[in-house]
Amino acid sequence: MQIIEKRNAQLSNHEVLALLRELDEKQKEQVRINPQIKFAENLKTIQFEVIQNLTSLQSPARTQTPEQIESVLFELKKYNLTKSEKLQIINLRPQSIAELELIIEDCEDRFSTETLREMIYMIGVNLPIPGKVVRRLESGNEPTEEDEVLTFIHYETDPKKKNILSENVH
Amino acid sequence: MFILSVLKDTIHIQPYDFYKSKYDALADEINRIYANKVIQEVGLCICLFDILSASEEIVHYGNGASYAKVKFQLVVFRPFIGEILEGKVSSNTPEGVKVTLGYFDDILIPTNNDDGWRFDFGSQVWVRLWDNPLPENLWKSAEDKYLYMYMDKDQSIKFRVIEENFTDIGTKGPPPKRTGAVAGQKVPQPGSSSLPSDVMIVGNNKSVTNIQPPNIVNADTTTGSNVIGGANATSVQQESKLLGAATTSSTYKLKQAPYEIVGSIAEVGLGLTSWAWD
Repeated sequence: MQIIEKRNAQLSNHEVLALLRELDEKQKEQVRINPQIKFAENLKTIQFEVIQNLTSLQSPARTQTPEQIESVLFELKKYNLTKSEKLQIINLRPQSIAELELIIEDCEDRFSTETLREMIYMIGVNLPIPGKVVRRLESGNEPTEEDEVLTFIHYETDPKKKNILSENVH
Repeated sequence: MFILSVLKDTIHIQPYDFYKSKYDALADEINRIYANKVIQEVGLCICLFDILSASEEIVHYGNGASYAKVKFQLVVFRPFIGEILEGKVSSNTPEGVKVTLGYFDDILIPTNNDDGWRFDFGSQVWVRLWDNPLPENLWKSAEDKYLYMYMDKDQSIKFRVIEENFTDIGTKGPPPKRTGAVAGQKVPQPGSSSLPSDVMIVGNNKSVTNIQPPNIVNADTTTGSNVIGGANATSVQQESKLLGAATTSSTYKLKQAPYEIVGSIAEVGLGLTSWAWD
């Protein structure tokens, strides 16, 4: 065995999940043709465990689509983030400024709080959590008690309110 | 979290796999050899991503298998230093809090390198202390100086990768049995495995537990943790007694992990995800 390049490219969680699901489908198809067929146990183990981890409830990769990731990357272009920062935004889907500050290096020097709020809102719109609607508080409005302080966005759980809330979104 | 690594290897295709297309036969064989294995200084291999090139197959005298030199890309789990990961607390040990990702278990958040930790003997878990943002005059008691984060089992936790350790624990036997054979065919002996006797592959992903009497605990068998040293083996033993961990007084389990990640939660926003940070 010879290692040619250790770190050739980085993959997002969504890409790995898509690859493993594809492998899973292929194996199911092979089993359908030949029920006797067996696959390497180590492969089945890691495949199952990674798929389970990436489809757990907390994992953003569970519901992401390539289109969503593309649109988020397009919107992130203007912020001049590094590759790994963008990758982690997609993998972790930060929902508060505290989470974003962890991912971005020298965050306080590079971005104002206003820009970070903007970014959080943009991430909330482009990488939506199913069943939740993101709403930006109008500037000048003090966040109410229900709202997450400082994030200036609010995840609504009631889809019926969607229409009313969408008016607030600029 | 996941990267692509380019590797080159000589892959055997056994005669009973000749009915498969060349790509499938090579892919199955590569997955069998590398999936769920740690390669030193590369990381934990997940599966094959793509085959870049493959040479003509050669058949050697006295062996029915064909050999091909293959260049391929593997999906590898190897978070970079400074990356934020999310996992679950798996256990509380004398060295610190163990975290699992489901497919990767050897993550340790050490608790002996700063003062922000306390061990709660009642519930047998580590407690992370955070400075209380409230001003002093609002405290009800001296205990309010800190906020307490209990590292209960199965809690979801966010941490930053601050260190990675690769330990060469030697090859642990041949790769898993070939399963490509159709029922009724003879499965070749493990001796004919195509895995080169290369020390780079260091056995399975999960760490191996050696049970040794405490008096022969040596510094060179530690897994990079700071607690266990040759001289203070007895103090470790005492500590493990105190902690009531899953160790008995006569044996102390030493873990050898081929790939270990050291994490830290000493930043605002890290720690249990059930906490609301603002």
